[in-house]
Amino acid sequence: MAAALLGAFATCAHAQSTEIPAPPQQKAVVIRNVQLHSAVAGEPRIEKAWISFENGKIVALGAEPMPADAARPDAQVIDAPGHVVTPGLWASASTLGLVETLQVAATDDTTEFGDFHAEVHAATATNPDSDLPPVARNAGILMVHAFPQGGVVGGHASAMRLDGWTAMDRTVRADAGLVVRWPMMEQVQARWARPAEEQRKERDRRLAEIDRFFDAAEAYLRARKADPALGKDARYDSLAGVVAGEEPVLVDANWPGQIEAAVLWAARRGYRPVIVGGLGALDVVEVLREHAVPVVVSGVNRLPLREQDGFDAVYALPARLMAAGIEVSLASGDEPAHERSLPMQAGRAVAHAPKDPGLADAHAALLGAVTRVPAIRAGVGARYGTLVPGKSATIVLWSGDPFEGTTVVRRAWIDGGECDLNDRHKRMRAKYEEKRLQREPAPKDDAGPPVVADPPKSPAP
Amino acid sequence: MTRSPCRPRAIIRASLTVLSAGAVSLSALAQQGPPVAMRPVDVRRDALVNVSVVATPGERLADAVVVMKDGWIERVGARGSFELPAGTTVHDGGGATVYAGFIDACVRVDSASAAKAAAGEAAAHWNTRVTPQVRAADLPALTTDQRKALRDIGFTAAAVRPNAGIFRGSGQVVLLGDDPRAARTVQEDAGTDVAFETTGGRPDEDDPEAWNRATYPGALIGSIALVRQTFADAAWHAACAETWARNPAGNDPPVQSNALAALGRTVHGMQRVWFDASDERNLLRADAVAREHRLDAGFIGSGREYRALAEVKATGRPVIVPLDLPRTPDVATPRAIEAVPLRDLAHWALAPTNLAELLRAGVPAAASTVRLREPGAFAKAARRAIDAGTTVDEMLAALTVHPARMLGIEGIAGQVRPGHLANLVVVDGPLFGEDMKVRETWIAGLRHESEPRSKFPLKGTYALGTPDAAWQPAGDATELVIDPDAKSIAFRGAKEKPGAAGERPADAPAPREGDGANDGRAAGEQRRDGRGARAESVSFEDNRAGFTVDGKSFGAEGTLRGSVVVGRTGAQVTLLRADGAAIRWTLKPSDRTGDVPDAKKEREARMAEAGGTAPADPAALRAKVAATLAAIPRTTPLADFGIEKPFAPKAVLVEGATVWTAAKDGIVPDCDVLVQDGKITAVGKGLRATLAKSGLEGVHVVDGTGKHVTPGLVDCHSHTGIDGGVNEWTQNVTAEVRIQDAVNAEDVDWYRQLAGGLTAANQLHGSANPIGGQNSVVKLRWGEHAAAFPVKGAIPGIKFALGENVTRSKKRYPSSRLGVETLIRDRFQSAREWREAGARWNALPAAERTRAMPPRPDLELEALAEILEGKRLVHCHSYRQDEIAMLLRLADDFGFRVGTLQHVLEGYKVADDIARHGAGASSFSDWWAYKMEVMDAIPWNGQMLWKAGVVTSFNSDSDELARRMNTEATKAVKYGGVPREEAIKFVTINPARQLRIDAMTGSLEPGKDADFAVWSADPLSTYATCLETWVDGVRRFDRAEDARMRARDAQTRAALVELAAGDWGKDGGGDAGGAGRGRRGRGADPGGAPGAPGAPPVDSIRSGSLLARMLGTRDDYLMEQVRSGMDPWSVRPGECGCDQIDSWNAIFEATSGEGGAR
Repeated sequence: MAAALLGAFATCAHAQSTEIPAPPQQKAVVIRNVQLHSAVAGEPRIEKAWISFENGKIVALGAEPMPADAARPDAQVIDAPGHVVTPGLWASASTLGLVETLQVAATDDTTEFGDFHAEVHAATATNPDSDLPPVARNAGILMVHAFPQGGVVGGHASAMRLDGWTAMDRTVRADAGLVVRWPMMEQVQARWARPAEEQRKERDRRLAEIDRFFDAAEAYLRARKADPALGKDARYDSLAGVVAGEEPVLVDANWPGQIEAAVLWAARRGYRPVIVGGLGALDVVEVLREHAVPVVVSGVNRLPLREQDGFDAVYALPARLMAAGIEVSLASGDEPAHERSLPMQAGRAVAHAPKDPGLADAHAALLGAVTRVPAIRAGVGARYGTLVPGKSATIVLWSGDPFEGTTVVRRAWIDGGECDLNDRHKRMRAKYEEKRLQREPAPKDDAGPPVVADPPKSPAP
Repeated sequence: MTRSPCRPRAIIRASLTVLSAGAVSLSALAQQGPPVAMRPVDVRRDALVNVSVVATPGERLADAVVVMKDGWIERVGARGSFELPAGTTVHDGGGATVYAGFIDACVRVDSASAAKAAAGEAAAHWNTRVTPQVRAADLPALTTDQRKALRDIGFTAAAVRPNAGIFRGSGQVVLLGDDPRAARTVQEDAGTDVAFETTGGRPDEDDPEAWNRATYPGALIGSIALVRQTFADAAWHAACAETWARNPAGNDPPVQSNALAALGRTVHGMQRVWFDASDERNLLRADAVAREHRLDAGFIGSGREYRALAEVKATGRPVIVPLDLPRTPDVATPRAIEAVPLRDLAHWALAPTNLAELLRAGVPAAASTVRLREPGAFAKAARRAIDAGTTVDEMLAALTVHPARMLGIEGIAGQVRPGHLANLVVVDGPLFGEDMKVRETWIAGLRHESEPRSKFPLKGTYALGTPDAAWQPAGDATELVIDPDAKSIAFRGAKEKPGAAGERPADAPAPREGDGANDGRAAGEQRRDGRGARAESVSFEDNRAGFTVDGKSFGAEGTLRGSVVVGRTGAQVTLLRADGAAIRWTLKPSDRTGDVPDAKKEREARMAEAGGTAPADPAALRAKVAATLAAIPRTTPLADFGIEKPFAPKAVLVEGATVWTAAKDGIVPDCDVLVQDGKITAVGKGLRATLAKSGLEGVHVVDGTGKHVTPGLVDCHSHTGIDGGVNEWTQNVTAEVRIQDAVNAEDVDWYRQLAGGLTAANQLHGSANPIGGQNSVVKLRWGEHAAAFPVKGAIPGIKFALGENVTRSKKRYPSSRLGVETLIRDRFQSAREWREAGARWNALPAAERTRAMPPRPDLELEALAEILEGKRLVHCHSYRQDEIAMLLRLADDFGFRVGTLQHVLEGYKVADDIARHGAGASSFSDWWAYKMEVMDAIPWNGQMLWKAGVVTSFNSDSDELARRMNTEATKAVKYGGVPREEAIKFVTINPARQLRIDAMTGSLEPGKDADFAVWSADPLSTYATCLETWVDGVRRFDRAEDARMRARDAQTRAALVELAAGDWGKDGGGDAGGAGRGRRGRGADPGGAPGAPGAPPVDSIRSGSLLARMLGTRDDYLMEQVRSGMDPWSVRPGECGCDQIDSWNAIFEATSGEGGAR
């Protein structure tokens, strides 16, 4: 059975011109004999499990043996012992789809002009035909919480699926948090920096600007509620959810002073803050805990904030925050083409997790930090992020522990539709394997080790 | 050549023969105009009596007499030991102390216009920053104010030095008096000044057109290269001149060069070079240049020399030490404390000890005002240095005998001796004590009072009798305090006892109305009646003082005008109302009841009462400071995670580990590694048995059970630990620059990388020009200074670059991939021809060689010729297959083999060509899509190259990624299934092979250096953590040790924060601010980069100018980096590449930019 399965994976060596989005799930699927991580908080993994899904939703799951009547007789059965099933991973605080080639300005739609552009939404311009998402899918990343960039108020983040023909197909939630970049509170003393006094003035100017903007928005929203005939201000209108405390404010802040100031600012206004970045969060963990503020750690593959911080200060940051009672999600913090580093970053965070009674199972906690928690952050936790009957069948089948560097994604489904796991890399590889074969028509058997991670064939529609 | 700290003897003697006949030379004014009336006859014989004389540090003569004649000291002795010659003007020193006049060995004057003029001469150097022909005589004289400011500290002579450029020109020693006789030059030659100044890659502010010519050097490496080339040129120029003089026939005359000619004496060791050593690392770099060119050198230091004391001492050269103390770090809030690295805290604490440490180590050191924003801060800094343990004698020596010797004037200055210049400083109170006052200086026998003392005869507290009053004064002002020195007059009520607690001092503001009734302070305090009043607008003349005072204190409306008129028998004190009515007191000398109250003591007493804290007992404070300073672990580097003493056992035995040999044995379970004297001596099972004879005596045993051991990881593409810019991008070919000149061993990222198992790195120049600079192959010997980092015996290399980065500028050659090839070919051809010409000259018979002009040394062509000779490896940044193939073809044509192709992300497309040529491939594991030329990059690249037989490695090109190279190797397994024992080679023996250091490191085999890492698990697993890292058998990282160091640093930090928050911090700082900081060695840059000392301050740059706009953009860019979570010290202006981007954007309207080197 297993052999048949793997054999089925290892055929397609030829490039496709492009990856075809999956149609809605037509046939029920049952995956059997896998290690299953539901990513539900506190729920241990099941060493030998089955899971079935149809019409894009998870139907049932459990420990083997699977009851005979648990799956439709016509279901596609994938028997994958030794493999691992998890929810699809999330690329959090990401620009995936918003930019193709970082240094080619024409391909960059991350940033709108000016400092306050609350009215824009990431969902608008995530390019469905970008070459980048298929690469991310090969790292198990099936969802993205896409952030617009730039300015002080960058715009609205959007929750997106990484499959679909159009941007609309892909959008799960357009208003998934307001991105705010908090100004530097501390004065930088480096030689290149402007004098401290000047920096303080600049900071105060920016803080006042932020307050003016949100004061005006609140006043406008109250006025418009009272008088719907009032002219519509696109910027302020987009803030209704934020002001009502429904849509979170995703505050980009790394220095302890930034974090502290941002949290207190949001608390004063009754907004729901989320700290994104969070390098210095441990220094102000009390204020985070007091206000129950979650943190999106923007990658552990970052240098420590300060010279005196330990070499593992960032590696261990997610786990330390978790142990301190903070709800943490982990983003790659990397450029969109390199989102695929996320699983290994999670693994590194596990490796450096401190032994702490508050964090018994670091692996499970970090898996939650790349699945369950980011889905909640994106406002779609009820539908995505965990493997629970009734939720979206957004599932990855891994060759092993998802956090190990050698693990590859065997198959993946978004809302039950199976992803085409081909990508630009595989196409280019296949093309130049062809060159090698042409130049060496009879390759010797011992020319090199066998290629074990061939891309799977696209599922037949 | 001896490294005597003094100037070459011949020059000293020459100056003495002129100068010690000073009676003549100093008394006549050569350029005196004809007298307009009577011819003046100047009787200049003065004696200072009633003084103690410190003739030289440690030699004090109490109650002495100093006789000066015609500007020279004639006699020094105890009072009464000789008779004063007739005609001597006697000056009563009033018990003051006389020291030799201080000598400032470095006072910088603005030489920008002189340099500009020199750069514009017909025979000027091609680089506008090379103007050694500027002479002190071309410089503006010190202004009256500058002289006075220096005199007020006690300086009587100064070496005046030019401040602009790299080769700045030569200085001279002048006297600091105002009279021309006391302001002349006493040493024509104070040496020539050189600074590693950079442009930061910017064009001149007003001359953007000239950017290509003027911007070199943009980085420290370029600056050092230019200095080296210029010294080589100067020696060559001198040789040409000699040859020409011997044999003009048939030869071309030597190149006309004012600059090179001006350096002729220097390169022959006859003129000292003063290097601007803007931090201790630049000092050692300057020393290396001086050694290479056999220069007589000294350093204008930074105040940070204590950080590398042994190394500074080993140079054997003198140091001019700025008393440039950092400000007390902000420790007011937890946020502020978190932001200060230990490096800065420790520097703040230890900087005041720098001078003493140098002197105690035997380094000739002169204390100077150089780098101080205000010379006035000098006295405060000196006092702080003394409080921190510098002895008065040490300070005095650093101000007199040491600078005199450094400047070659020790025969005439620096001591109070007959035959020396009559340069004296007369001081009240202990030298640089809190109450010290420089009363006067004598320069060439002429007196300069620091603050002309008032001749007003009354000073002290006087009882006021009953006034003769036109109205009834409201209060009973019963005392008048007159202090002509402080220009103050105050009335006080009788109930205020002088010096009593709670009393308002003479200099406190006048109390407001109602102040006296109840000022809210503690009960029992003296009630104040409000009669006190401080006079305003006080002026003193010889016998009169005028002032105004608030009438309220005297029951009058408005302001009263007052005067004190001193007559023959007494004084009249008058207060005049607006209507002319007056109050009058008469003072007699007998009314004097006491001295002027000591404002400071009163203030302290008041503070003590108000705040409850007694003013710190100075002795106790000094003891506390001394104890805290002594407790700072003197680590290398002196910073977080610094090493006190590296752990270097004689032998190490790792037992029972899984050993990844990266050699033919592959991965061996349950295996031992034996290390002796830094080398691996055995790898195998049961090695303990082989030690049977000697046993485990002295052997450090590492229990490897459950652990894995790999060779130390090797990173073939690093930019870590490079000071002052990785890119000398300002020219398209910069083969002359060397990263080895700018290695920074103190970069904490080295330590962080050791914590990831890395032990060796290839420090590469950036990729902004087709032929970049020479690389540096180092081992991560954290805890040592930079000199210990290079791998001895590594074959040198050089960085080349192709593609988008080097063609980005569309206004210089090359602007397309077409020109990249032709440019490189042209330079190789040039190098070949240059080498051939040199060989022809060398082959000449000796006699003929002296007649033929020698070939010019050329550091750039030399490096390129070495490539052609196979002595230097090319490491070429490359992406696209066409450019890769181009380079291989080019190399084949010139007959050399490319060392490595760096990045080589399309290498998989031409893997066969690369394999055939034999170049190594040093690639990213899986980066792509950040620019057009990497859109086809694929993570199978490494595997496909490896499979084609190319020696393949994965590199970091990142301070951060270099911390986890083990899991980069993992990706060779993931993408393409490279076997694990081969994958580990991608980050060990393969990069070692590429760098040709594989005989020393990169695998675990007997005979190799003991470079290895111990891992908690399979090193290719994400879950593996590095437990310990060894380099040459020395443990450079260890998790337990790391924990100990964190605790140690936290403790030091706490002690220093406490010190900074206390009295020592309050009184604390100097005026240096952030200058001299910088862990990346931006340090106190010698200038050039705006915002750095020595360069125009940023605020002086014209607002709205191109440069201002560029700097603004740069600052915003850098600030954004910090805002988003980067350590401010990791943000490297000029190194992040943003400078380039800005320059290019601003000047060429380029549409896109790229940072760093990838």
